[in-house]
Amino acid sequence: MAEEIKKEAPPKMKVTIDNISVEVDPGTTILQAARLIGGDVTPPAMCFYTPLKGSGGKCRTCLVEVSKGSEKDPRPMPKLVASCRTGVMDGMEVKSVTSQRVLDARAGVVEFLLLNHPLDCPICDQAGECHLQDLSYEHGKEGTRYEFKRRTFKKHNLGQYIQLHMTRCILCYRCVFTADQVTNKRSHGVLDRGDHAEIATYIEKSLDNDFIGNVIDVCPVGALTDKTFRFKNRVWFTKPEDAHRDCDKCCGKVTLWKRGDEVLRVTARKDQWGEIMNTEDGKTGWICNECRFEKKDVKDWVIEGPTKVARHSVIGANHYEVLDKPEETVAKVMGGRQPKLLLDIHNISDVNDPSVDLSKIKGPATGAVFNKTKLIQEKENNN
Amino acid sequence: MTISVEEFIYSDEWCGGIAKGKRLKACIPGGSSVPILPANLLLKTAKGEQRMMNYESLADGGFQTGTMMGSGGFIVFDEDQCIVKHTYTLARFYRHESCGQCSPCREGTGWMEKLLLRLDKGQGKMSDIDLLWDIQSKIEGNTICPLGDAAAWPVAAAIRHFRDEFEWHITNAAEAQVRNFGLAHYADAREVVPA
Repeated sequence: MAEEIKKEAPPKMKVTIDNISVEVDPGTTILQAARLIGGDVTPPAMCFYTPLKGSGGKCRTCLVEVSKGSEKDPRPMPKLVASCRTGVMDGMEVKSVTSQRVLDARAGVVEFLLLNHPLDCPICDQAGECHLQDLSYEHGKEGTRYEFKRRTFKKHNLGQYIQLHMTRCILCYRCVFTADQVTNKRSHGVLDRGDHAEIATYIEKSLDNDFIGNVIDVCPVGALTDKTFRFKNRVWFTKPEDAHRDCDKCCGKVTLWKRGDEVLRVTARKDQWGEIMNTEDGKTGWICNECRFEKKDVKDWVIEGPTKVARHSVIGANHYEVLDKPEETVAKVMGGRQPKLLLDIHNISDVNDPSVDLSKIKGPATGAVFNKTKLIQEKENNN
Repeated sequence: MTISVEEFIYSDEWCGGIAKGKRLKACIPGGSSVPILPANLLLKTAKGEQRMMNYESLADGGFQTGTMMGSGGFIVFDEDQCIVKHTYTLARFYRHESCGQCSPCREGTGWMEKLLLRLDKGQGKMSDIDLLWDIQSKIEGNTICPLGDAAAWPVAAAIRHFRDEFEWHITNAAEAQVRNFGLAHYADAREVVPA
């Protein structure tokens, strides 16, 4: 009987995002389809988090324009849609970076998110791996037009491990979903509404649950930070290494952020979208508080090797050889206009080309000297 | 549905005209979220036809010269009312009602309220009007629910039709605190004999 009920796999759906086509399974969202393409066409996402059910739709940074609904119903959608919560249809055509409407809306959302953000990046522990920094760099405008007092909040004590900086929060609700779905009892949530809504525990209550530390990993900004790592180091000075240990509570597969032999911070392993990766058995690699906060000694861990950070951010700066470069079609689609890329230094700068042996240049390497040396070296190689 | 807007406001059978024989300045015909219309566009459409109390006629001309029936909460302004102050009141209401889930509405409504309060108090700048227009365009259509649209429309329509009143509030800040802008060119075509 069971064999009869089993259906064939449903046909793939073809979706075109910025003139780049990709075939995906039914039920995929536009955002996930765009992530298969990668590069600049992928909308940014501040609140959507793949392992968390129900997340997304709140920050509105992932807005895209649907210029053709589907093969059956080719009408365009009148409003911009949140790509993280909109499923693809067969034959759908989506405009992301090629639509000026989308770019304007995103710039607007970035401005709104930064209105009440304190911009205290120089003293924020998240700086360097902050999604809001990346977002405002890639999609925002310079400066703000806001001339009023930024809102501030009373401090809430969340216990010995987690520090809450409500002023930095962008209310993505990720930590609420995490506490709902990963821990067995949620004791924090969103209080109040509107622009004075805040993440807090109802009555000063510390968050103590074996898996509550994961809220630090899911937080896209520096609102929830690790008290054991606070002000210890900047993330870009630390060296990430994959490690594991035998843990009876969680998968035990983590990234250690080391300075020398000292383990400064332990986090779950994240992929290029800043989301916690799945372990081999297909489950999300949440880690327990014991692994995260208490095992701060190299002897506790079996080191696997350096982590390949594949993210457009400062922490990816020394690891950019593993970055997936976007397809060159983007320039074609945008009428020859090259989009701004965060780590695409080689294409822009004259003096940063790995094919030139820097030791052969005497003195400071200006663009002219560099290009001359490059020619000489090419000639030598040809001979 | 078969009577005209003019009949609805002035006839004794319905509203019985404006109190103390004052003249009509503007009207929000469908609850606070729909675009406000000045008197000259309210009684007659841009094509010169009589505007009727029904969905089609009120929506005639789109948002440029028309409005919406909406929920039918009819709000009429006489010549003593200040549009800037009323727009501020509406913005304050929508800021209070915003649930705070999505960022354009959560942050944008508060920003608009602060700007409008500053304009109302006579401390505004000329660039604030364009800024308000830009903010409302970034909120409209980009939120989860229609509250974002509802917060953006009254501000947009007030600037669209009453921009000179906003400008007057900035250039004559001290005067704006003691008297209203008055009717200017929005006066209805209908001559009203003071009661």
